[in-house]
Amino acid sequence: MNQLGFPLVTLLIAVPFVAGLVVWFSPRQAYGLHRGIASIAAIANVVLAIIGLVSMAPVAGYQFVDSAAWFPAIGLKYAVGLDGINIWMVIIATLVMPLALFAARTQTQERQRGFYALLMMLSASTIGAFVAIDLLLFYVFFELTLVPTAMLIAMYGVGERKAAAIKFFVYPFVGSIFLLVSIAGLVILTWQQTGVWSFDSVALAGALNSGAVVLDEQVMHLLFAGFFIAFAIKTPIWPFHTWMPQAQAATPDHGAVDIAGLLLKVGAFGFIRFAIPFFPQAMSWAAPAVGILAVISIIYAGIVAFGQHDMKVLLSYATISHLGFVILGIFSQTVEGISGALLTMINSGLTTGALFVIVGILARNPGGRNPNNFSGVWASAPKFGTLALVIVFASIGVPGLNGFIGEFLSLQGAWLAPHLGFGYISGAVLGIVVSAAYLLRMFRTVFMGAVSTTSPVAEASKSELAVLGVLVIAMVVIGLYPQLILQSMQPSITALVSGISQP
Amino acid sequence: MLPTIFYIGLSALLFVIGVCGVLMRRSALMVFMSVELMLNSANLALVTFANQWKSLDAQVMVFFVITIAAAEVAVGLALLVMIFMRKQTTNIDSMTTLKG
Amino acid sequence: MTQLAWLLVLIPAFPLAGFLLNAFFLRGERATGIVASLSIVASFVTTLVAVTNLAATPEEARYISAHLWDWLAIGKVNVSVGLWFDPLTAVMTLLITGVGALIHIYSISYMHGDSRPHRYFAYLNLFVFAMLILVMSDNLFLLFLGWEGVGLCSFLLIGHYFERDSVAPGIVPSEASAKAFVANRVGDAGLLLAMMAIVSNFGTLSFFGADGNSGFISRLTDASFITVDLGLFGSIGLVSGIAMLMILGVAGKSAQLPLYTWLPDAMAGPTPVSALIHAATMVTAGVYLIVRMHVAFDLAPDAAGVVTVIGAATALIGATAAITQFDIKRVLAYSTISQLGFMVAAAGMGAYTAAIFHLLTHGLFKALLFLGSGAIIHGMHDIQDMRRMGGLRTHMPTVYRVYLIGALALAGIFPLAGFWSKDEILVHAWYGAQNVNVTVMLIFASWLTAFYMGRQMALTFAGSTRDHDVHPHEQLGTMKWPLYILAVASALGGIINLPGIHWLTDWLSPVLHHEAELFTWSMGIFAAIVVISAGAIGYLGYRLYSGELLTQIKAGEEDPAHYYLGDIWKGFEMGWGLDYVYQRLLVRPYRTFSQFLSDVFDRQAIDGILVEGSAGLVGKVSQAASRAQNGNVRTYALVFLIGVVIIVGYVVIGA
Repeated sequence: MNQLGFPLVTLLIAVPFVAGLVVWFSPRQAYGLHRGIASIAAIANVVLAIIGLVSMAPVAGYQFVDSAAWFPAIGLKYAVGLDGINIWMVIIATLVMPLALFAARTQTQERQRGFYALLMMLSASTIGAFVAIDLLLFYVFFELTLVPTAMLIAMYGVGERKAAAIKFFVYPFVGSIFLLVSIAGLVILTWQQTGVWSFDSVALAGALNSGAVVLDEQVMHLLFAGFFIAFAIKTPIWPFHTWMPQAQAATPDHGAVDIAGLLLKVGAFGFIRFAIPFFPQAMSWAAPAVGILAVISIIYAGIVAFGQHDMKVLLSYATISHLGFVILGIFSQTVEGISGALLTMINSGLTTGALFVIVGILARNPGGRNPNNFSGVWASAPKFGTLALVIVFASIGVPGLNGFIGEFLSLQGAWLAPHLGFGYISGAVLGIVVSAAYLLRMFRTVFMGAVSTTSPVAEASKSELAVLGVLVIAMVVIGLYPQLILQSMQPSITALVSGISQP
Repeated sequence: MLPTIFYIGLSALLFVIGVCGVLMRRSALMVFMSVELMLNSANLALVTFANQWKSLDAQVMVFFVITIAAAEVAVGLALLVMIFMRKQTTNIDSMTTLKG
Repeated sequence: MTQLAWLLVLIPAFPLAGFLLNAFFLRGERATGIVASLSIVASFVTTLVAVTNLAATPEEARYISAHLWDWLAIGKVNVSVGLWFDPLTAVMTLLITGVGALIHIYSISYMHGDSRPHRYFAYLNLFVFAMLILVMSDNLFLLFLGWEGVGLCSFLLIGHYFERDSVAPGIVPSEASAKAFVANRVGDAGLLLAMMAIVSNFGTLSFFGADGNSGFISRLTDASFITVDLGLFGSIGLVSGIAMLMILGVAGKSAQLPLYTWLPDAMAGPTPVSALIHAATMVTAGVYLIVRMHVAFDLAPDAAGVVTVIGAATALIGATAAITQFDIKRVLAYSTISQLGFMVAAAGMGAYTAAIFHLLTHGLFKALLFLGSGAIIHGMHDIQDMRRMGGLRTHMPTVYRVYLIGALALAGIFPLAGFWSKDEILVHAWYGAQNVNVTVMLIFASWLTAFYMGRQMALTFAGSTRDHDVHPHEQLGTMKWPLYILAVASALGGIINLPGIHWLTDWLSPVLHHEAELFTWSMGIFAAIVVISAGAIGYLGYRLYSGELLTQIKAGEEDPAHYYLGDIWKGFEMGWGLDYVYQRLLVRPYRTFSQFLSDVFDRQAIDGILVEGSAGLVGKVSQAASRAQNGNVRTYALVFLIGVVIIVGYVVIGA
């Protein structure tokens, strides 16, 4: 048990999981019940996450650890905990659930039971992946996130939803097989050299960094490659990205699935959580090549986003572009870069989540998801338009709003990193130009121009404006006082980075 | 008492006949009977060895085999009847549902 | 924080408060206008108080600073939100709040009847706030916030008439605003890189540090010998590299070569916006940046040379483009580009005081000209084409008088403000920098300036009305007071740095460490030659277009000069075709490339070949393997038997 006196982290996983089960087995016609249970669970989880944040001590290492033996013969444990790195991922992951539920208000009642149950399962598995300390437990959650998402796409999606769901499931799944092999390899090699079976990531990282376990260079690169393939596909990095736009083209219009899936940044998180402490040398070894992929991701996804006719797909490519910055920051292995990467992930959850809500509101109109079917929304819906404007500029990365800080820190970290340097940055910085181009193109087409006669958009409802307004306030606060988030990450990230520099 | 080798020879002969039957006959019923023949050739071998080594272990095994064969006949014949009712034939060459 | 520091905070706080009030609470047209204007006036008054206090501080530590809160403190990145008020900031702040206040007051009448006045004034207040942050920041990071903030406001204000499909002369507001923002972003990318280079090498973004002497600027000298290896591109000095990257930012924000193409289109915004943002303040941010970073440019002669060449070339290109325009605002827009070229060239040659001097006087008379043109457009019922004007002298006598003062000041006629500031730049180019090419280019540009202003005066005010469908009227209301004040300022503005008095030089010397240059007779003669020739050319332009050529000016037809100069004139008119080139070489290929990537490459090459291809390969293999599965029980039995034989054989023989 931990200092709080109750299993906080386990509850974070259990609350949405149990809520999902309850919804699943509740009567089909109890429409109010489904939404009610889901909302209560989502809000309870936010409260739990905030309790965690507030009562967390500003030190490195896991806190509130819940640990129980699972399969003692091979050292398998159920171990979950929070530290400065994953607490913010958990906070945002819990925060996006109410947002997703809000977006899902237009889900037809007849089919909402399974929908809410799956959303809850998705939340539980995402949070599980963020808080897992045990490697195999992480792997289980990592895979588990695929199931509800794929089912949501296949059962509730639009267009080529079956094909998209299959690709969404199979592609990352294939990648993660390599992860499983690498985990097994790492554990067995550790056992051979120390005689201890352990899947505990902290113990493994300690053994690797203290020299208790010495990996042959070739072996280390191979093990790293397994982690890399799984995480790179899941992140995704160019050229492993194609499952993501296709999946998002097939998600339901209201955007709930996209929002809930936003914090599925388990791939990028995995790099920080496992790849850096386990294989710092291999990370440095791979950094120049991965850096190039990241720069290509930033620019390529930005250019492709410019040509999209589906706003959701556009946002999907925008996410890929943002993740390029994240990867650059992570592979810099500097305090600045990793902080920037984490902040960019959080920002992407906030900003892109808000953009998905906007697209959801627009998509209710006859124009659907194609920006070219809209015009002059700013004139017919001035408040909605203004909020959209701020959110778009936050996503473009205008200083004073949240997006800029994360991108700046990621790039600054990469510049400072000995194995990356300014050559990469001069390429990546083009990303801020292309992002302005594609987002302004969307904003200009949809919100500016003469009011469309074929598809006029009415002002958004009070609740919609309120939700977007709250998000905008959060963006401004993070933009002007990012220390709010960065400060609590500092000890953990410093410890992570100093672990690297140890011989 | 004949030497053991004759019994084993007979058992082997029966087994080969069974194998040939399984591989060559088209009627499912005949294949079935060939399988029974193979089981019984094994039984014969078991009994012979039991006699040779004066051990009861093998004879116990024979009882098992007989029991299993009986059960198998019960299930197998039921399946056969069902197949015949569906397809009006017991030619196993025409049963290729599992073709990949 | 000290009381003085709080005073500093108040300067940007007033516009911010005005913005918040306008954005969230006020909706009435009168209320918004008055609140917005009052907030800027209050800011101006506060600035005056701050300047008085600043003047009382000892010269060797003449600054006021205010540290507000820590923005970022991660690893090497330590950035605070802090304000800095030194003589350079003081003059910029005075210009921004002073001209800003006048333009706000002018806007109350000008924007009367607008459908969204609260938004207009909110944006305008936000702009002033961002601009103040830009000049008052004590570090590059906060400066960048102002830098992008003014870009954002520029986007919003150019797009104020976003629901119109086209405004004169055929610009789509939404397109122009996006274009301005993206062009600025190209420059901002350069500035961002410069910032990261500074963090990496100096570990701070603060200009001067808390004690006025520990920022990165004072450390630039020590770093002047560091070179950076650029691999294939050779190597470059660190300071040069930083300065070069900043030049990109300057070119974007101050509309210099090669990024000036957004400014003519930015005229899609309301005219007061053009006066404030696209003439007096925002576009001068680049000049301010160079002067603020002058230590870097002093240490990097190659970068300073680039600045000079860019400035002089832009001055010439802008001036040649301005002589051909028919849209009254476009003439002024190209003129602004040209005058910014003067400032940038001056800054490149190390004449920082002259650059700031011209920045100030230009801010005054160009604001006057834009506001005057706004009054003309207002009186002509939204007609901006000078071919349809003419004879406005009789219809709008007041506007004529103030416009004449502005035009003479811009043309650099003695003794108006523009004469003194432009002359200082030319004198420095000739005597100080001794750069003949640049001097010739700048003198030629100033001749052209006189010419196009003469042409514009003739086309708008001389003769009689060419378009008989419109009935011009002069109804200025409160608009006239800003015009009067600016006219007086444009006429007398030169006083602040007259040769021999040089108040501005002395005031700026704690920042720039420039001594006033000695005034010699040869300089006086040089100036006299320039001003007389410019005056003659200006008069020539006026005579030509009010006399011989006037009869040939018809709505919708080419300028008579086009007959003589042909395609050269056409090229000038298109702003040397750079916009056309960008459209053809960058924008359209980008669009096509983007379509190709998303429709073909991403779907077929990456997804089709790499992803689906590898999945297909697995499928093919398994299909081949599944052939063995023929469903025939006897085949299975035979395979089984063979297997048994092999295993038994292996066991028997092997064992």
